[in-house]
Amino acid sequence: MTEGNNVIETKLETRIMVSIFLVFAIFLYATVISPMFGGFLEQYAFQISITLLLFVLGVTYYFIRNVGSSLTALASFTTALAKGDFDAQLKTANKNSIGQRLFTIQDVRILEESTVKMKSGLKNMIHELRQKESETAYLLNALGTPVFAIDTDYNITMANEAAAQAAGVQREDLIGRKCYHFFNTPHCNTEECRTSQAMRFKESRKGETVVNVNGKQIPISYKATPLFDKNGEVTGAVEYTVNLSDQYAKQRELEKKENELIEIFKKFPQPGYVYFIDTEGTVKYTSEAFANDFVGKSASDLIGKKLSELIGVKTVAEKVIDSGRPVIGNEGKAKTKDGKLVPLLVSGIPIKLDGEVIGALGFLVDITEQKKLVKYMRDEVSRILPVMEAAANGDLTQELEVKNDDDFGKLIKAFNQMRDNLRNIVINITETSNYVSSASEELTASIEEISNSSRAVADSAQKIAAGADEQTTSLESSNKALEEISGITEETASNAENVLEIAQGASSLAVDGYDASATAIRNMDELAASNAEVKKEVEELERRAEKIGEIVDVITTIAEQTSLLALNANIEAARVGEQGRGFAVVAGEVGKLANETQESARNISELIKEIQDSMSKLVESVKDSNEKTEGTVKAVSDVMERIERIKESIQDTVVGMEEIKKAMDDQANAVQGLAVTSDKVFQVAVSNTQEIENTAAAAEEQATSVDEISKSSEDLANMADRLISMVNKFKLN
Amino acid sequence: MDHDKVVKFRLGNEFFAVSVNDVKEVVKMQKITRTPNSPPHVKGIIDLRGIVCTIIDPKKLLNVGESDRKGKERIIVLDLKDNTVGIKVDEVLSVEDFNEEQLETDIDLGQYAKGIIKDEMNGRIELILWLDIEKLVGGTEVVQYA
Repeated sequence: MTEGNNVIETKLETRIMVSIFLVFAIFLYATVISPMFGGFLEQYAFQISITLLLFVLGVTYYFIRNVGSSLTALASFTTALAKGDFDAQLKTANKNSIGQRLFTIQDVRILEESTVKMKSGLKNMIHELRQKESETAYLLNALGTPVFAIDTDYNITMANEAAAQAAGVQREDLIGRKCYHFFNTPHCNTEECRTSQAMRFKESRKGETVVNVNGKQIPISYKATPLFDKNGEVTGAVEYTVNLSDQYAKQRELEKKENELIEIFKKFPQPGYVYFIDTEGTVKYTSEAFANDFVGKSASDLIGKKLSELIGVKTVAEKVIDSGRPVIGNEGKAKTKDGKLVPLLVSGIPIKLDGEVIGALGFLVDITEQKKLVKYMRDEVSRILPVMEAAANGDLTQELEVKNDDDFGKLIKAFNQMRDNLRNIVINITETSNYVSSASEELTASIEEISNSSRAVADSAQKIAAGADEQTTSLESSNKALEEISGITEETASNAENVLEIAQGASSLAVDGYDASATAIRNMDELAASNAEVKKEVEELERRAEKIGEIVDVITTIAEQTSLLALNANIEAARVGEQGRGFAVVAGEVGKLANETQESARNISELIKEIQDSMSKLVESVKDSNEKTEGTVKAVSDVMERIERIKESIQDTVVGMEEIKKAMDDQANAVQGLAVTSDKVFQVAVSNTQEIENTAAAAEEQATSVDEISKSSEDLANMADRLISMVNKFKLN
Repeated sequence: MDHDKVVKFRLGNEFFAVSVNDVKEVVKMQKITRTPNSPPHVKGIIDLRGIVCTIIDPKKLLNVGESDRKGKERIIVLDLKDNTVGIKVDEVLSVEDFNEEQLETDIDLGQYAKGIIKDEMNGRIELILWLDIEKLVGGTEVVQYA
């Protein structure tokens, strides 16, 4: 910077400062001092201020007009620079203007050059600054919570994105505007404003308030730190805010919950010993009964105080806050403020919000009455139980006294009634079962008889059935026999007829036989005579045959001898050889002849032998014939006699046979009738057998049924007996 | 040929032959007197016109069964050098000629046979055992009473 520039600056600054000071002084007088003194100017302060301001502005305008357009151009150039418009060009002012007259061209040139140099210097600086600024802005923006800076007049000089977001505008729109314009809090424009405090006391201040943005109220915590220039003068402050909405919401919810719970606890039955403490052990709620009986104060006196300090011992609620687990219905005792030891049922329930313990409920129940009731119940039960047990075991003699008109009284009344009814029932059962017992004994006896009878019937029926079976079989065979008889009779009848015919034939044959016999006797006599002659002839023949035999023997001997001779001759001839040949032939012929002779002789001999044999036989037969003829004659006479008798017999036979035939016919008819009847009888017998068998089966079944009845009857008797013995267990007197 | 003639005879139901030269004569059967202490095939002795003739039963030697047909028993008196021996046969049939074609000698027929003669008898071929008399009777010890 040159000296000239400093001079210009100083001059200009001084003039402007003087003007502004003048305006400010008037304004101050109008707005602050005048009201302080309660002067009449108060009424017209605003109008005076405006008038003065217009006057100043007029002076200033005049001054600026007079200073010249050069300065104006320079000023607009520097303003542009100040606004960061480094592209702006310095326009040379009108030479005829006041500016030209005030400042020499030299001065202007120097000023212009300096300004242009400054421009480039500034450009560099600003570039650096911007770089730093962008880094800072980045860091600030990185902070999620709103941060902004103000100058001493509460104009926002810097703000991060969060601040813009909280205000609901663009970041650029915040710059240069009043902070309280956007963040309308109860602290704004008051002594409470921590930023103003920070600037005033030159130290960081912290506070909590509520921001009103777009109709929304956001609780915040904020910290203001003063900013200083190099001379240690306060130039502004940085405000750092934290949104407390969530925290507040949580707090409110907690309170709401607590209140809800307390509302619930208030509904607990009175006098109930209920209290609720937070995690610090501070009483949030207590029932009057608890406060009175255990602390000796009213409930409202206890709220906000430490319970353990009031009572002097650690309460169950504190214990469950420590453990986090509920305690339900623990029996215990506690001293009341009166020094009375009260039996209690103690419960402690930790109350949680979003999984976090926020306090605990203590709940105590005075169980003095219950204890008393239990004792009474025990006494009554021990009085009633033995009598009931005795009754259960059959002793119905004892009666219970009704002491109170409560459930026990009702129970005892009912028991007594039951006992009376039971007594009556037992008496009835005893009588009835005695009767049943004797009746069933009689029944058993009767059934025994019936059983025996029906068994006998069954046996008989079985026997009858067997008999009927036999009978049927007999009838069957008899039927068959009858059929056979019928057949035989018929046969016999026809045989008799045949016999009759034969007898009649025999009768006529007998007559013929008699005649033939007479003829035979005559012939026999003739035969006897001729036989005697034959005998004589045969004897003669025998004699001659014997002679022939003797002759033949001689011939045979000769022939044999001759044959042997012929053989020897032949041998001899052979031994001789050729010379004996002729002899040998002769000898051979002789031999042959001798052999033939021998053969013939043998034949003759055999023939004679045969003749002799025949002869002997003939003689024998003739002799025999004679004897036989004699016998025959006698026999034939006998035959004749017999034939005579046969004839008579045959006659008798014929008569008999006729009678037999008639009888047989009758018999056949009778047998036929008998067969028919027998068949019917057989059918009847068969059906009888069936029926008898059915009867037998029925009788058997009956016997079985009777057995079953008998068993049932016995069971009945047994049951009656058992019933009696059971009933006898009841003691009635 | 000296040996072309034989005397044919029967023993039991078999036929045999001896050479005609070995036969002196054929005689009827007569009472044989038994000789004690003689072998089983020696039946005994007979009187042949004043000469004692030893009778041999060849069936014992030839192991031939008894005959069915009786009544034609003969004694063939053999023509031996030292003694008179006869063999008892059941029948003497004939003196027969035979030629060489009828003779079979190659077969081994035992010690007593000379060969087999095939002879036609009653329309069929009959095998006739030709006996060697020397062998049959030669070893026979004969009691000599003369």
